[in-house]
Amino acid sequence: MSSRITHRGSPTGGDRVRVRRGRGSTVALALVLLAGCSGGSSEVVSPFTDPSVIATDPGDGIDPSATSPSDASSSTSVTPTSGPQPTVTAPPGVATLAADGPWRLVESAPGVDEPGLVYELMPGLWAWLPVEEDLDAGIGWYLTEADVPVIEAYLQARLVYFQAVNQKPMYLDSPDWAEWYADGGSAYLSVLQPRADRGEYGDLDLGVVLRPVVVGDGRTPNSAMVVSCTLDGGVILTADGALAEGSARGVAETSSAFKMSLAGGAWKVVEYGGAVGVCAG
Amino acid sequence: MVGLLSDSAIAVGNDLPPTVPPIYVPGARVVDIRESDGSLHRYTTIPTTSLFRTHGSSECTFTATGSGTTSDGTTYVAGQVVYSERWMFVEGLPEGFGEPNPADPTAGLGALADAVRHFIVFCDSYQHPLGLLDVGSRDPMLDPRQQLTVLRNDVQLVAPTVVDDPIVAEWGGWVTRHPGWLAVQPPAWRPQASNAVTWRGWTMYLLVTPRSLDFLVEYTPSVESAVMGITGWTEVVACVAPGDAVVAAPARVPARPDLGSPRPPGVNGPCTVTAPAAGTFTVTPIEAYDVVFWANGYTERLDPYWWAGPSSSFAVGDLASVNVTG
Repeated sequence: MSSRITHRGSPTGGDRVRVRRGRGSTVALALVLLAGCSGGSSEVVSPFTDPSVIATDPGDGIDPSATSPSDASSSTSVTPTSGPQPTVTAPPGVATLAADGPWRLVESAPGVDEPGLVYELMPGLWAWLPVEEDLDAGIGWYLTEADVPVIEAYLQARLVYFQAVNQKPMYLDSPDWAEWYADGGSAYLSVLQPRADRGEYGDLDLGVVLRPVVVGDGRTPNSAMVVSCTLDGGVILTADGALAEGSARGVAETSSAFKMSLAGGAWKVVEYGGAVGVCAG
Repeated sequence: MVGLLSDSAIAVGNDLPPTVPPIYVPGARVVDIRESDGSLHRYTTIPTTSLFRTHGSSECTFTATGSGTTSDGTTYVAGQVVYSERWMFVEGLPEGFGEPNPADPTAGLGALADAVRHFIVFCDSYQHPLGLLDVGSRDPMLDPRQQLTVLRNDVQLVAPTVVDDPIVAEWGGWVTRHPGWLAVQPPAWRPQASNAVTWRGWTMYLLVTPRSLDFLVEYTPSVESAVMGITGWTEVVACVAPGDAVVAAPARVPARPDLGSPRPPGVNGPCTVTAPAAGTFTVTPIEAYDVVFWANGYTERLDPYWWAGPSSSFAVGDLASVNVTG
């Protein structure tokens, strides 16, 4: 038996902005949520991928403690997308999300220059999904039909969160929490409620790009883990519109992991939290 | 004198080209396994005894041929040596392996014990290939035998069921001192395959082939027979032994031969049993199967599987009585 590694094409160039990573670079987003943090850029986390929120015992692959230093220290310069983007069509033969889902296929998202599908979930929130393996571009996993239901449920769950946070005031009473989170979103809500009580709210600002990947660990017909190295340009604002304490503008790479389970014919999030090494590629 | 040596050393050092310190990158090993649909899934949970865990030293290394960035975001320049804990193993595309043939279950690519999966080894990122690594099928990261329970639970065998001897149709039951033939329905005596199970790049089946057939026969005398001193008994009636050539008939396996004249009570030979007196026969077929584990075209024999089908009960009567009542 012989084998070969496929190198299908190369990343397209274009004029979109590349993520710039490196130690010591400026942390784009700053909102300290971790208890016991002493401050400093390496401990800054995103409000939108808050690793201090753990639904349950995180289990394999989920690190409840923190975002990895390399993730937190990464930054990017991003050209924000303005105005509505034209809807595009997927290349033939590739797996896609359901056409009737709360997303639409668009041409691009800020900070994404690799080939793949870009879905807009709401203004300022995108998901990037590769459609073919391209190791030269660092792409191993790509969307397959088998993983489509997992990714769709993951995105639905993430959308619930962002829709809740990105309102002034935050709206935390959506019945969608119960639809997509096995705990009804209680772990998230326990963190968000104090913020909502203070009048704080989220602003997607430079945009958030989810880059979910279904990993092999724990993957069965009824379970899956989705990790994401998210390009997070969101901020948390105070009631008067100022940056909330610890929040800063810019885009950070943040790692998160969501455990999904299939029960009663529907995929739901059963655990969620920060992760380590997801952004290492 | 000491100062002179010190100055000399410094002077020599200054004549060397500037050096860049090596980079040490923390991280964890990852394995990208090619699933059965051809796509890659990443695994980070690696058993301690797996070759993916034990291969090489704690860090892989490469010397940069140009500038770049490590997996933790550290920049490097040409000529700089990078040590990384992030070993990466990426599986290549396998050759085709076809479909299993239940009628010839061991046909294929050879013994599963000899099967290997091929991986390309990278250091720190896909940009730095180090070489190839073959991993055997017994590696705990890949061993398909871990899925045998799933496969066994997924086997949907046709249950062996006792087929009525023609004497039952003719007389309404078994006839005392006349031999009867024990057999099962033909669908229960044929090679069968489980549904396919896929796991970590393996496409797996269990292939089962009928191996032997026995019947557990329990005779219970009627009250009248018991009064006459007839006692019950239980016998195993051997029918098909491993390796026997089996002749099938459209309605039964094995085909029923001419059993001839009345026989003494008890087991009269393969598949043949005779009732001593009025009563009841309870017959349970026990079929054994040869089992072959098929994974990506490689095969491995497993222990035979024994399965008892549903029990069937038959009335036993005297032929005279049957004539009287008829």
